[in-house]
Amino acid sequence: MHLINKNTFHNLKILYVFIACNLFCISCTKVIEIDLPDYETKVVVDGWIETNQPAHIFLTNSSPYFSDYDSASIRNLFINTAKVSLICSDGNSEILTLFKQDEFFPPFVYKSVEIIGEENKSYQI
Amino acid sequence: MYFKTRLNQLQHKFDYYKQAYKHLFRIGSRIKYGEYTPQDIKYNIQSVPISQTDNYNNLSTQIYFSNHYSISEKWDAYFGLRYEHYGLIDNNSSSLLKEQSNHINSVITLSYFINKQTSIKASHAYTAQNIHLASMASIPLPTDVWMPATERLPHEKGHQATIGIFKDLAQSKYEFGIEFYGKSIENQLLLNPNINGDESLHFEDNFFIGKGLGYGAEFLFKKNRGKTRATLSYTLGQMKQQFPNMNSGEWFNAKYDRRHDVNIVLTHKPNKRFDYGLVFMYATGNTATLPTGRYFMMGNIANDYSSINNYRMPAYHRLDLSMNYYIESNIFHESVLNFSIINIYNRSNPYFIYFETQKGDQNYDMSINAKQSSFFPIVPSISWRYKF
Repeated sequence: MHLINKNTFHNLKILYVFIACNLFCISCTKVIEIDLPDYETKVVVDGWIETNQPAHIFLTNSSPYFSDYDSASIRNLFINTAKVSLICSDGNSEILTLFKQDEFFPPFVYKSVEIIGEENKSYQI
Repeated sequence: MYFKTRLNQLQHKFDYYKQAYKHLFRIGSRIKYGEYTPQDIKYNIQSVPISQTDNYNNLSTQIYFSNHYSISEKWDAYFGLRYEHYGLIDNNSSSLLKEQSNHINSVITLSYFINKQTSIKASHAYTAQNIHLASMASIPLPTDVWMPATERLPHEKGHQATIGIFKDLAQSKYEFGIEFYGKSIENQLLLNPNINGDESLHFEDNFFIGKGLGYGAEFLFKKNRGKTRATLSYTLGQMKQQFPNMNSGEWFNAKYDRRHDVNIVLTHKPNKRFDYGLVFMYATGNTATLPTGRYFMMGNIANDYSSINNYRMPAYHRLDLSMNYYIESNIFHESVLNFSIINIYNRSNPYFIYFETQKGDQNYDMSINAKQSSFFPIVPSISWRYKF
């Protein structure tokens, strides 16, 4: 009697463990909504100047973490109406010109036309 | 990427008790050897595999003394002292131990019995701990790392003080307690895994060292006898941390900062054949550092973080039910059938949160989803326990 009991319960247990494993796999991960604190958009300045090359400056807005990007919404993040001045330590200065260059991302870049990077000089924007 | 952390411990313990008049003395010693591998990491940078393993072996020799002194019917005192000699074992050097240090731990507890049912208890403890539990500072993984103390990462030192009032009713059938606690900790660690491949001479340089501060109140109710028994406890607390070069030096909530912590255990045994059990727990979720914004930098998308541990994970709560049926048997000494359901309302308790980036067909199309991993949905189980 007890032997029969034991086997029956043993089988039942296997069945339950099996069901449990299935449940486990189904409900492992799920997409959730996350409430992040309000994000204040900041202006991001990224750029470089190298020897014998013009200055490159990228101006963009940062965006909340969960914003979706597509070609329309991403365009709104590019700042294309800024006035960027470059001042060299030798006293020269220039207002940078906006170019569209698809090889870059973002594809809009403010570049200098007259000022070319020289060694041992410092530059301010 | 592959990251592992492990530890082995071996210890020898000696204790001796002696009762004399109103004193209960205890002296003892402990020798503890530990092997730690806080980091065993493998990863690829531009398909070049890189691996690094860091090992620490330490030896801690301790002697301690304590005395439980029943001063009078009204007063009760307990105090203890522990001396520790600590060092790292250096296999390559001629001297066995390096970076040696000495530490003293102390504890004192005073109880005052207002009457037979009511007592007030106050305590203070100073501890110097030779092992650190370091959470990761940057990656929201549910892993923590055990790191032994070294010269660069000194012992975690803390003061803890408590004061509480306890009540015993109907010959200990019911117990109530309220206790307030406060603790301040020095030399807490956070790990900043070195995955940039920077040359660093010491693994210890990957840690931030800071301070911790915790305080709170614990409420306890117990029913110890009768067909229905219960233990209810609730803790209201806060745990904060401060690190010199993190979060602009401001205090922030620790990973395990837990505002509310509820535990309820109920058992009911109406007769010899059956008993029923209920367990409920609720705990405020851990904190995590999640990015709040995104921006473009050097042609890539980068994350913008506003502060450390700025996000609170959803709360952890769960209800378990169980039933035991005692089968009468001539063969077995004890034979019990157990039915139980863990997590009866199928709560998806968060284990960790991660982000999934989806790219669309068009240029620039991109969206991000947050995903939560959890363990243990509703788990019904049935088991049979027997003793010969």
